[in-house]
Amino acid sequence: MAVDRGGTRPTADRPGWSACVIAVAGFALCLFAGGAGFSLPWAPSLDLRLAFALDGLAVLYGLLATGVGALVFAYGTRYLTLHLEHQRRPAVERWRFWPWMTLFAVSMVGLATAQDLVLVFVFFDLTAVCSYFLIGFDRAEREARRSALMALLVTVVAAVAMLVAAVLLHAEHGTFAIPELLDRAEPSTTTTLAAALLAVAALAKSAQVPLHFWLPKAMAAPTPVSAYLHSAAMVAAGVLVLGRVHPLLARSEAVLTGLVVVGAASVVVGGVLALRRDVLKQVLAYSTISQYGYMVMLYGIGGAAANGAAAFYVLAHGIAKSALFMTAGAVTMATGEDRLSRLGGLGRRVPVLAVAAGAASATLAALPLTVGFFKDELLFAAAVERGPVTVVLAVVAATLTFAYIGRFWIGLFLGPARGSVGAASTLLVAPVVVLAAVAVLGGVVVEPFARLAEDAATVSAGEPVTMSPGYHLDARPENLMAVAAWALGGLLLVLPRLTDGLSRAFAAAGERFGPRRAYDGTLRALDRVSAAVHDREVRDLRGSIAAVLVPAGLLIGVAFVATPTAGAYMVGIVEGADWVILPLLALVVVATVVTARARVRLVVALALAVVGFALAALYALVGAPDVALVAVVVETMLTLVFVAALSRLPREDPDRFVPGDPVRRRRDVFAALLAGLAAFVALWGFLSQPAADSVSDEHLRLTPSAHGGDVVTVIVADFRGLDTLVEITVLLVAVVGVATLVRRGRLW
Amino acid sequence: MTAHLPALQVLVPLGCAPLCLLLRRFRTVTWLVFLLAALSSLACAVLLATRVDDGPLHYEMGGWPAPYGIEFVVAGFNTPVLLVVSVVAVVAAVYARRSVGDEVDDRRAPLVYTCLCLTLTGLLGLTVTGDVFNAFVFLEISSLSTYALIAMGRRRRALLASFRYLVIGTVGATFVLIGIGFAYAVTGTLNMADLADRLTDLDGNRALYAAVVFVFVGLAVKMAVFPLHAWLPAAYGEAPSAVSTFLAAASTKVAIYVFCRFAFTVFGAGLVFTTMPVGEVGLLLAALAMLVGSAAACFQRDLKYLLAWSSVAQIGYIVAGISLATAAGVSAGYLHVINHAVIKGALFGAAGLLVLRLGSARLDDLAGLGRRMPWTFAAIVVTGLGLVGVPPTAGFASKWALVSALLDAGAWPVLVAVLASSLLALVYVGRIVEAAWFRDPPADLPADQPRAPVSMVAAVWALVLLSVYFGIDASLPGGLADAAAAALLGTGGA
Repeated sequence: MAVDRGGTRPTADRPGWSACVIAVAGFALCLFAGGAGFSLPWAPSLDLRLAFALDGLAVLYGLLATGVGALVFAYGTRYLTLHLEHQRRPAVERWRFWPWMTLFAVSMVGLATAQDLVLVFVFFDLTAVCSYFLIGFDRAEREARRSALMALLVTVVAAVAMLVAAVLLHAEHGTFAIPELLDRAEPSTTTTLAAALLAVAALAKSAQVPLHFWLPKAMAAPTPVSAYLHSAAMVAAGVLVLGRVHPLLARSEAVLTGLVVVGAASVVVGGVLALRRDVLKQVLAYSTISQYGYMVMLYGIGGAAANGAAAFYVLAHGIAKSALFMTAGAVTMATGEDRLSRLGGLGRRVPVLAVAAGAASATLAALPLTVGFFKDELLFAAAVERGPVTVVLAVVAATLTFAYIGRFWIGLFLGPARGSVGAASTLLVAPVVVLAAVAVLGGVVVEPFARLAEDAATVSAGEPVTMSPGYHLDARPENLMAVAAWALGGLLLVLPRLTDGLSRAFAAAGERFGPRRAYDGTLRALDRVSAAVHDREVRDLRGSIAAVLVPAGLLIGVAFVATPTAGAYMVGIVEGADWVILPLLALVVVATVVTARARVRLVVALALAVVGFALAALYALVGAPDVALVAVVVETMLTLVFVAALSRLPREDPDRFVPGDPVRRRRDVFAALLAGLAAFVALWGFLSQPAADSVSDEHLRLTPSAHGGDVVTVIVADFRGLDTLVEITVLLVAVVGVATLVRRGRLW
Repeated sequence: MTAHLPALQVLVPLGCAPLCLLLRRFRTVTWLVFLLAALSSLACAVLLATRVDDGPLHYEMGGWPAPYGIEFVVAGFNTPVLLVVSVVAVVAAVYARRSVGDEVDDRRAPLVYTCLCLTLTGLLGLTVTGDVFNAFVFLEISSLSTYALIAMGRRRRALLASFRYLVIGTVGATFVLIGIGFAYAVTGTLNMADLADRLTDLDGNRALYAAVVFVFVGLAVKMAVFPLHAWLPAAYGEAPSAVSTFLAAASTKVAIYVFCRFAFTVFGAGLVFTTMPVGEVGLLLAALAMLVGSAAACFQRDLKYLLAWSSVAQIGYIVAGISLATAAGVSAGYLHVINHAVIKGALFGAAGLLVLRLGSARLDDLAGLGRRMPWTFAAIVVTGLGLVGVPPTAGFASKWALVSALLDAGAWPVLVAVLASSLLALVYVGRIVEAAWFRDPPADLPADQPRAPVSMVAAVWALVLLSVYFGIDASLPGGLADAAAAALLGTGGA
C-alpha cells in the first residue's frame, strides 16, 4: 500500500465505488438484455423520438464502455485519492470527478443504443461536455484548462457537422430514425454530403488526422480519465458513429475512399510520432490516434469482412489500451516519474505489473496467444481483399505498432534499474491484470469475442457477417504479413536511429504546418473580430441615437426608392380658403426657422407657441372649430408651463448655443436637410392620395346616442375612452418618473 | 363575468397601479398588489387560452361596435403571448420581493411595483387590442414605465441607460405613430380588421407603403432588431434584476407579436412580404443580428450585459422565422418567443442572484463560485445550454423548428448564420462556465455572505424546469405556436 500521509488513512472513495457499481450493473445489462429496445415519443411536433435498442453494435460498445469502465473506476478510487493527496487537495474534490465519470459512462451506453440521429448527437455532445470537466479536473493548471477547452471545442464544433447532416437527411427523408434513414437513403448528392458531414464529426471524435491534435493535449487529464476516455470510450464514440451509419457511408464511394485516406494518414502520423515520445502517456496517445486510424481505414474499406474486423479491433484495442494507460499511471504513482528516459528496469521490482503490461503490449502488437493476434489477422484479411495498397498500409501500420509498443514495454520494464520505486498499490495493478487476463483468454478462446464482433458488424454492414478467426499454421497471406510486420518492427526496435530522424521530421512538420496552428489562429481571429465589434458599438448618446435614426432613415429611403413613382406626386391648384392658409403656413415656417436659430430659451418657447397657434388657426379654417378650440387651450397651457419652468432654471449662458466643431455642424445641417426633404416627400406622396371615408362620419352620427354635446368630447370620453384612460395613466408614470429621478422616491 | 375576461386581463393590472402608489407606505402590500395583478392576468390568460379554440373572441369596449369603438381581440395568435407575459410576470413578482428589497431603496420600492403593474398593463394591452391607435397608447405606457423602471437600477449608469432608451424609444414610438397616422389617413379607420378590409382596395398606394415602413421601423426599435438594438444592452444590464428578468422575457416579445399582428392581419402578408421586401430585409437583419449579437456577447465582462447581447442575437432567430412568412417559419418564431422568454427570464433571474450575493455580476467576480452557489450556476448552465441550442433543451426545440423552416424556404445563408451564432453562443456560455468552475476564487472572499433567498431561487428554478420541460415535451409550446401561425396566416391571406 502506498504511504498514507499523517498516519490517517483516507476515507473510502464512496462516489468512486458507486460509479463502479453502476458500471458493473450496466455491464450486466448489456450482457443479458441484448436485443431489447424501446421507443418513446419525445417531441412529436419535431418528429423526435427517444428510440433506444440494444442491438449487436450497442452490445459491443456497451460492454466495452461498462466493462472497461468498471475496472477503470475501481482503479480510479485508489488513483484519485493519491492524486488529490499529492496535489494537497481535499478529498471532497472527488465529487467534481465521479459524477462526470458516471455521466460519461451513461452517455456512452446511451450513444451506443440510440437509434435516432438527434439522440446520437445529444449523447455525442454529452460525452464531450463530460470530457471537458474531466480533462480540466486539475483546474489549477493552466495547461489542463486549455487542453480541456481544446478537446471540447474541436469535438463539439465538429459535432455540429453531425447536426447539419441530421437536418439534411431529415429534409430529404422526413425522419431522424437511423434504421429508416439507412433504409431510405439512395446514392445522391445529399446523401454524400450528409455522410461526409457525419464522418467529419466522427473523425474529430476519434482524433483522426488532421483533427487529432487535441488528444495528446488531453493527456493533461488524470490517468483514469485517459484510461477510460482516450482508449475505450470517447475516442471509440467516433468509430461507433461510423459503424452506426456505415450503410449510409457505403452509399458513396468518395466518402469511403476519404475514410481510407484519413485512416491511413492517422496510422502513419500517429505511429511515427509515437515512436519517439518520451512521456509515457504521450506514447499511448499517439498510439491511440494510430490505432483508431486502423479502424477508420477498415470502415473505409467496407464490406462484411472489414466491418467485422473493425468491430473486433475496437474490442481488442480497448482492452489493451486501457490496461496500458493504467500501467503508465501505476508506474508514475509508484516512481513519481512519467518519462521513459528516466525509467527502466522495473520488471524485477513490480513483476506482476510487468507481466500484465507485457500481455497488454503483446495484444497491441498482435502477438499470438493474445486476442490482439486476431485483430491483425482480420485486418490483414480485409486488406488483402481490397488490394495491394491497403496490404502495404496494413503491414506498415502493424510494423509501427510493434515498434513503438515494444519500445514502451522494454523501456519501462527491462534494462538497468532507474528511479526509486515505492510500493504499487494493489488496486492500481489488479485492473491491469484483469484486462491482461481477458486479452490472453481471448487469445485462447476467441469464440465469444468473435460472436460479439459478428453481431456488431451485422448491424454496421447491413448484412449477416460471419467470422472465423483462428490460428492457421500455413503460409497464407495474413500470416506472412504478420511475420513481415514483426520482423520489420523488430528491426525498428533494435535500430532506433532509423526512427529517430523520421519521427523528428514529422514532429517538426506538425509544429510548423500542423492543425494546432490553425486552431490557435482561429481562436485569436475570433477574439479580434469580437473586439472590433465591441469597439464599433457606439458609446455616447448622440452616437446611439444616430445608430437608430440612420438605419431607420435608410430603410424608409429604400422603401421609397423601391416603390413606383408614376402618379404618386401630384401638384394641386390653390383656390378659395387656401389663400388664407398659405400665409399661416409661411408663419409656421418663419417660426420654425426662428426656433432652430434662437439662442435664448424664451424665444424658443415663444416661437414654438407661434407654430402651435398657427396650426390651431388652420384647424379652424379647414372646418374643425372644436378641434381648433382644444388646440388653442392645449397650446396656451403648454406655453405657460414652458415659460414658467424656464423662469425657474438658472440664468442661461449665452455661449451655450454657440456651435463648436464646424465639421460636426455641417454634418448636422446636412442630416437635418435630408430628413426634412424626406419628410416633405413622404407627406407629398401621402397628400397626393385621395382621402378615404373616415369612421368619424359614423362618430358624428352616433354622438347623440352617446348623450354627448360635441363629437370631440364623446370620442375622448366614450368611443375611445380607453385611450384616454391609459393616456391619463401616462401622467402617473411621469409622476413616478420624476419622483424616482429628482426626488429620490418622495412623491410630494 | 367570463365574457369580460379580455377587458379584465388588462384593467386589473391597470387598476392595481394607482393602488400601489396609494399604499406606498406599506411596502409588502404594494408587492402583494403586484403579485395579485400578475396572478389575475395569468388566470385570465389561461381561461382565455382555453376558450379561443372555437374561434376568436371579440370584446367591444364601452359597448360601441367594432370600427367606431375600441375592440379587444383574443385569438390563437395572441394567447401564447398573453401566457408568456403572465407567467413571466408571476415569476418576476415572486422573485421581486427580495430582489427589489435588496437593490432598490425602501422609498422607491413601491414605485417599482407601480411601474411593473403599468408595464404589465401596457404589454397585455398591446397584445389584446384590436385597434391600432389603442396599440400605440399601450405601447407608450409600457415604454414610459419601462424607462422609469430602468432608471431605478443600482448604479448611476442606470440613469444614462434609461435616458438613452427614453430618447431612442421615443423616436421609435413616434415612427409608429406616424405610420398609424398615414394608415388612418388612407383608410379612415383605426380598427385592425377594418383596416385590413379597406387596404385591399389600395394597391400601390404610396402613403400606405410609407405607413408600413414607419410602423415597422418603429416597432423594430422596440423589438431591438439589429441595427436598432443600441438601447438594449445597457437597459437590461443596468435595470434592477427583477426588472431585467421581466423585461428581457416579455417586453421585446410583445413588440415582436405586434409586428406579426401588423404584418399578417393588418397590412397583409401579400403587401408586406410580396410587394414590399420586408421578408428579405428581415432575414438579412436577422442574420446580422445573430452574428453581431453573439460576437459582442462573447466579449462582455458583465454577465447581465452578456445576456443582453445574447438577446440581440436570439431576437434575430425569431425575426428570421417570422420573415419567412411561411407557416413553419412563423410557428418557429413563436416557439422561440415562448422558449426564449423562459430561458432568458431564468438567466437574468440567476444573474440577479449573483448580484444579490456579490453586489455585481461581473464575470471576473464569478471566479470559482460554481461550488459555492451550485444551484444558481446549475440554473445558468442548464438554460445556457438552451441558448446554445443543445438538445434536449427548449432552445434546441425552437432552433430545430427554425432550421427546418429555413431549409424548406432554402434560406441557406441564414442557416449558416444560425449555426455560426450557435457556436459563438457556445463560446459565451463557456466563458461563464469557465469563470465559475475553472478559476480560483479570490482569496479575500468574505465568508458571511447572505444566502440566496428561497423565493428568488424558486422563481428562477421554476423557469429553468419549465425550459427543461419544454425541451423534453415540446407539444405544449409547439401546439400554441402552430395555432398562432395558423391564426395569423389564415386571416392574413398568405
